[in-house]
Amino acid sequence: MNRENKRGRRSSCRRGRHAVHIAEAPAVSLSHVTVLFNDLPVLTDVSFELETGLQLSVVGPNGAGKSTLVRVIAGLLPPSQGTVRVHGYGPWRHICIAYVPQKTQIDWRFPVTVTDVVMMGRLRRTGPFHRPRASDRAIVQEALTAVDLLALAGRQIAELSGGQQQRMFIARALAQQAELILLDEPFTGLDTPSKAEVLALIGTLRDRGVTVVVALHDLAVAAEAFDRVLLLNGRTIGFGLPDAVFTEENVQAAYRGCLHIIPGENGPVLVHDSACTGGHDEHV
Amino acid sequence: MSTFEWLIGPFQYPFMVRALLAATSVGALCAVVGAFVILRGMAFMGDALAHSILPGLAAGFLTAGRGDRRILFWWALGTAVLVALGMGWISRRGRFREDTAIGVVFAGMFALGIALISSVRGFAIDLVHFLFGNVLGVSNGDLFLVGVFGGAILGLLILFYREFVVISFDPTLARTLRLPTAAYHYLLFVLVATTVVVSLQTVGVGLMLAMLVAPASTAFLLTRRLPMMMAVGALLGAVSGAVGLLLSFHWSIASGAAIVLVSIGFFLLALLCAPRRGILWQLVRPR
Repeated sequence: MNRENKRGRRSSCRRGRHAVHIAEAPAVSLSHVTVLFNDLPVLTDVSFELETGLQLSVVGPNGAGKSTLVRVIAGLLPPSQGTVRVHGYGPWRHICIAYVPQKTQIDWRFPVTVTDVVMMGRLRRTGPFHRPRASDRAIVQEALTAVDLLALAGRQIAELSGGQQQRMFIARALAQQAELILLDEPFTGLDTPSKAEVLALIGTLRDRGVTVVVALHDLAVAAEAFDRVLLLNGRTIGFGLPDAVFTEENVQAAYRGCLHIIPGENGPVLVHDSACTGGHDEHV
Repeated sequence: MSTFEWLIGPFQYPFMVRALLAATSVGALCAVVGAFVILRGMAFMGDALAHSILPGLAAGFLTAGRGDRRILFWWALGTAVLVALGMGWISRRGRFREDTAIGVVFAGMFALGIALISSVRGFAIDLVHFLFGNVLGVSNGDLFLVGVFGGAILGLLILFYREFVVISFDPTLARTLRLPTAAYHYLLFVLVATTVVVSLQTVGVGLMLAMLVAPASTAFLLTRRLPMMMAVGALLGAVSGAVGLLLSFHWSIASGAAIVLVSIGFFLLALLCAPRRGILWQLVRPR
């Protein structure tokens, strides 16, 4: 057991019946993925490949299928058509995919501490009766340190701020030794400093060689902080480097004329026509 | 009468000793299982489950007659496990909202039970025992069953503790860790059902919900971590059982009702005075 742990992160998905990684396969690969809900398409014919270690932002208007796409990659939702591969295998065979839930999916009154939640990430790796071993505690400690929550480790989860709650779930993903971390709207409801903290933390995941996929509202963040962008509106409008994806034509196609790119002094500026949807602001 | 006599006197009767053992162990067991019931929002399901056992009891009663009460336990257990699996299935993939479907099952089964029992002459006393329990009539054999099944339930809860916590707190995590979530979901339902059957003789069908919910929610107010919540709940459940039994003996009130009233009393006290979560605390320190 210990020897396996010492081999480090690369071994983490190779236990038991779980999938072995194909080294040369992309971290995430979607091929002609279509998802239907009640016979209505939510996603249509989405294909892309994301190399290991890159950070992808998934953006688009409300109802574009961002959350659906994230759930498909996590293996939580089987696509109606097409194939999904994570490191060469179907996602449902992996235990190294971490999914950071939306804030509203969690009952914050649940009597668990920050440490308890992070330790949950160890569930498939702890010993008999799931008693945490010294190595598990060390991994949880390291994860808490990485997200700067060690001082709050004993807090009940309702006593955390929104940003701290997001960081706790990222720590859980680290404790899970995830090689692919999926975040669904992690910045919703966060104030600007917390948002910056969480974003910086996501940036540090690059050093760990972890692949990251984030569903987002904020196009400016998507353009600045991520290696690749997937612009969605039920189907793929654009995929690739942010500069290549965020063209006037693509943004028009995704937001149906509600969002415009205006060349500014410090690069292009996105302007949202709030009369169009009355929904969330896709602010700059 | 001295306090000592008041506390110890009743237990010169063997039936009171048996009742004390049953009430305290059932109180503790219900509180531990009840922690998952309240955290998962299964209170209504627990109540429905208890009521749905009635036709099983009635069928056992009709086939075995009044003579052999042991057979009733097995009838109740069989019915409870079937109903639990059915409710588990409904709550996973119903065409109605979960509470609607459970409500229909609950009412239908309960009515069927009453209809069956009412076909027997002199049913009233037996019906009252099923509905409100008869802890004073607990036999050594009943205690043995409480011990064996209660121990098995606690053993399984400890064995699968972390899995149950994860499927309750964050079902999505359970699925990305590729746990067999459906299996744990059904297992938890069966454990709740078995708890209900084991506790039936102490508080009866009608007051079962209180034993599952009251000590556990009192403990929820007083603690901040689940293992401690279960331990405090178990203690409160056992103390409620003992105190309720004494009150029932001295004041000649129904034992099941006395036990439940004591546990509700603890709950109200905690609701008022609990540190951090209590009403008084929040008045003094508004956040």
